[in-house]
Amino acid sequence: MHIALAIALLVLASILFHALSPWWQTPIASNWGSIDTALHVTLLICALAFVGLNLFLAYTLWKYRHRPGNRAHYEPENARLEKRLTFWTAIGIAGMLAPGLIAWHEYVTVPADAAVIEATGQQWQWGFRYPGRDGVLGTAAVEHVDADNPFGMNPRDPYGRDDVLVETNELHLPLGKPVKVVLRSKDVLHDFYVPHFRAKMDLVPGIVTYFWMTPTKSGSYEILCAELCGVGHHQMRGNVIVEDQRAYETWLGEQMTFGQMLAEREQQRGAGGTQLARAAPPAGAAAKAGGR
Amino acid sequence: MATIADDLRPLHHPKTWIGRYVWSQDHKVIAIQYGVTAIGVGLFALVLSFLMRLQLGFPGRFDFIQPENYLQFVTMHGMIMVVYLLTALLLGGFGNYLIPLMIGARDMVFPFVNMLSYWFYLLSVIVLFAGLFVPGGPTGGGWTLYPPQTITGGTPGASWGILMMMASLGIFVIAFTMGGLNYVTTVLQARTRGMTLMRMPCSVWGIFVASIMGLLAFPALFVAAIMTILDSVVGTSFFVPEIVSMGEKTGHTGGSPILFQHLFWFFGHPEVYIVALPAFGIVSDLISVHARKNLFGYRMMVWAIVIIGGLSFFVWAHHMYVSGMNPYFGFFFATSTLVIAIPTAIKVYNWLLTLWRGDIHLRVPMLFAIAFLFTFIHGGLTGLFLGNVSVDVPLSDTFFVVGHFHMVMGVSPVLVVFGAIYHWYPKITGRMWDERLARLHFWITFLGTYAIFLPMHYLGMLGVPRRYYALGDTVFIPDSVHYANMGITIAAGLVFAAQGLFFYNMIWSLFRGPRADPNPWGAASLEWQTPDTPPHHGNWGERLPTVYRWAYDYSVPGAARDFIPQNEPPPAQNPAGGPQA
Amino acid sequence: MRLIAALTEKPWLTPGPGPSAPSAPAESESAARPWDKGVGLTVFLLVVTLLFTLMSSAYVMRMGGHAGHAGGGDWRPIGEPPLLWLNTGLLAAASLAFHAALGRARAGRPRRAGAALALGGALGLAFVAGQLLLWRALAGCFAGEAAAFCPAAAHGIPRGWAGDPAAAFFYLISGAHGLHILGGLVACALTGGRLARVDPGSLAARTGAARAVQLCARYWDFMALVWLALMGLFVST
Repeated sequence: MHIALAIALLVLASILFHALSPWWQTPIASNWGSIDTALHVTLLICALAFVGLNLFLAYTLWKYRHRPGNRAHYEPENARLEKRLTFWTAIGIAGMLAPGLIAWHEYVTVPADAAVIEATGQQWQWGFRYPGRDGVLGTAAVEHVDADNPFGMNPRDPYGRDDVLVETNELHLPLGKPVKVVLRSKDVLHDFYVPHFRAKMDLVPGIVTYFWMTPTKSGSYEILCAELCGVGHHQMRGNVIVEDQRAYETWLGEQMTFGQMLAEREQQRGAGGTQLARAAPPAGAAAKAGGR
Repeated sequence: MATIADDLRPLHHPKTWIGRYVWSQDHKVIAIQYGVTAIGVGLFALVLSFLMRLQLGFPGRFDFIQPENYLQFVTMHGMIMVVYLLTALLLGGFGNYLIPLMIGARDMVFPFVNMLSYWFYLLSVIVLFAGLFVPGGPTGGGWTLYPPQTITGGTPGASWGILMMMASLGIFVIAFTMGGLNYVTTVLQARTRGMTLMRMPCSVWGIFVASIMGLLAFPALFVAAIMTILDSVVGTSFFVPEIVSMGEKTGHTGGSPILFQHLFWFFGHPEVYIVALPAFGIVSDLISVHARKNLFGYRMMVWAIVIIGGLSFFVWAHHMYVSGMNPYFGFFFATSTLVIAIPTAIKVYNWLLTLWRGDIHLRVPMLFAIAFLFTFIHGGLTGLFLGNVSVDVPLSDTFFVVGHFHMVMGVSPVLVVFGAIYHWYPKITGRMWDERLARLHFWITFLGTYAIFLPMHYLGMLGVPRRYYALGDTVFIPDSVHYANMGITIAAGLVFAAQGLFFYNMIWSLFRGPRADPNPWGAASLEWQTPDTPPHHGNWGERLPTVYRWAYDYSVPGAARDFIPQNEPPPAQNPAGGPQA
Repeated sequence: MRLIAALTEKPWLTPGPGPSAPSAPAESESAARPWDKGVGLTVFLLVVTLLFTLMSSAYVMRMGGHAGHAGGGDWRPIGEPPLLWLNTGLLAAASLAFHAALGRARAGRPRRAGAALALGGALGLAFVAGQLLLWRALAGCFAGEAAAFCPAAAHGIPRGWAGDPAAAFFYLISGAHGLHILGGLVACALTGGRLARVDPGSLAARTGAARAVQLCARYWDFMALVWLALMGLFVST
């Protein structure tokens, strides 16, 4: 008896909790409304099933509770009923799968005009790289990483010279422009996650992963690491600042390019220079490559 | 599919106490050894979870929980609960106890291998616990043990802890393979006269299919464990590419971290169903017995178990939608994952329809079965969110995932385990437990766990990430989340304490409980028809039983009682006729 | 088909002793047969198949033949050492010897079957010894010794076999196979002992021993097939 009441009350409590709890999705700040739509469709269908099945359960428990003299009905199976239930379940499943797959198709199809920006992860901080004036990210790999070259830029790649390197955990993005975020890890798995953008992807050492999105609301949002990466996992934070094109360009202009960084380091060390700087091609090559 | 009815070899009857209870080859003793060990290990993991909750509910208040300890608790808790508790308890414990009794056999087909299986399992547990004391402590890489993190600096236990964990898992796989071979072969070969496949209770079906799945899935874990050990010790590059760990290159080149994830989840997803299918089977029997009604749609239930078992090998990458694998795999795995929901839903409908028009006795095992229905419906439906590829993107690695899998493969199977223990306790021990303590235990456990895990889904919706030692000052996380975490911790403390009732009840009843009736629930299946309670070595006395009907002849029209035992012959004048349906 | 018929039975309609009840005298325990170990072996072989399939899949994925991103571009084939072919021959010969043993055991000649079984076991041991030689020789290649069959990877890259993914996989997979062969040798030795003790006058003992030899031969055929598949993998990549 109590259990029937408990089940019915739990259903009611769940609905109330859903309606009254202060915890729900953060306000969306990207183009991924389609993901939210898929989520809401899934939620609606699942909520109907949850409420319906459990209220049926509660009613059955109450109605067919044991009383002296009762005897259960004998019915081994009912193929017609089972087929009908299967059919309607399949409809419900298809109803939530379709928006899910449509959103996923969008998620994996990067628009041709998306700007490329790279986020790199290491225990336990973020770094960001912009392609510079040539619009092309230079090649980079872990084999080139050393104290002077934390991004692992290929010193022989002319495309890398004008890449803008940001080591401060702060990513700036222009408002309303689609951006393909290319992800690279130097040590272990990480995951680039901004709750307001809904988007998320792992950083995997050894390969380059990506996702894309369009920021639609200016403001400052938190970047979290969403793939366990060691004892500092919970402290691997960053910020993404979405601002209008002018402010973005101003900010970008204030950052150092890889070429400038090399030159500065060379100056600091005097005539000896670093091996890295000596191996680099003359500045003209970079300018020429940038013009292509 | 021929059945060999009798075992002609004389059973090896041990003479000494050690021979009977320690180096025993009796499936019932091995089952209890498995069960007690698994529950003991599980209790340790329960303590770990409470320590984690203390940290999350009251961050910074407990100095002895540092970030590395927290991650070690997370890892050990997860691995122990999934592998060393649930897999061992449902298959090694219930599988061992129930299979021979339910199919009418005297023992497993290979009793010696069965005994070895337990001792290897115990060895794996010992190695696992030895890992707590190695330099650097146990691994803190999360139960998924993803490289490169597990074997590089910045993760606790990256040098010794991970090796102990992998070695322990390797030994566990060997133990499971020996056990699984026995369960499968016994079901195929040792069924008594008349016990056709479709006359087996659903418990046996669930355990049988789960055993086959385990045999096919655990090799993947085995391979992954060995390759991780080689990467760590010998310096091969199976999984680890060129990386700079803590400012130093490790010397690896070209390995693929995603390869590990594929191997892990090729084991890991079937593993979910290895735990779920025996629970499905057992709960089917509990509901049918206590509702005094035949299991509705028995054939569909059996087919669903087989179909779920088969399909579960084609859904593993739904754990990897945002792992960086080829994103186009997402289409396939989302579809296969949601398709598997259909046979699962059918099982839920048939459980509900078994209750419908039944004669429902709300005894304690039945209460647990009903609670399972509620939590499983909840956990199964939230699984659709995570399986539905794009919906998974914002939710993956948040507390939504934690809430979901605890509901569906933590709370649900554990409720079934409790129900099953209360249900078969009179048969196993010959005594009855205390009704009031059992009901109290049920209510606190059921309501408490829902209070723990329901709010977690909403924290996940908000975006609270999992495996965080502390949330710190995060702008999008309001203060109310901290109060929610406190509340969850308090609920967890209550549920934790309530388990004391269970253990007290079980141990007290073992010595002081009233003598139990041989068949207190009026069940039709074969294990309740043994000549002795608890059954003696050899189970069936002089003669093996002959089975004349399926396991669900409840409330058959025209029958004198509301159940007909499986070994009761049909009336002589009408040997071929069935009941008038 | 019989399986489908069994699984579509409506069990509530057919109370009675059941179609699969043996017609043997119902009540005597001694009339029945012992368990058939062959079913257990078949299930075990299924597990072994999965084990090697998974390792081979990992091999192919790591190589880069997978549609995902796996593979680091550092794959260099290990080549074809001549010993590989010789060892394969030994394994096949062992299989033949086991079949000879089976033929004699069935013909009721347990002693001669035992001799053939011993020959098979010796060939199996020779295979393991050959594999050991091969592993040592390969390790020598990676340590810098020049040999005709040394894989291209071994020259000029003094990283050892562990640094070479193809070699590491070769050691892993052939090592796992070698362990299974050793297990088979233990089973073969036990069967040999049983053959030696068998009372030639007892039909039941002879049939039982022949069945044991048959299972040995089946295991050996299976491991030989696995090895051929693995050879195909090593040689073609």
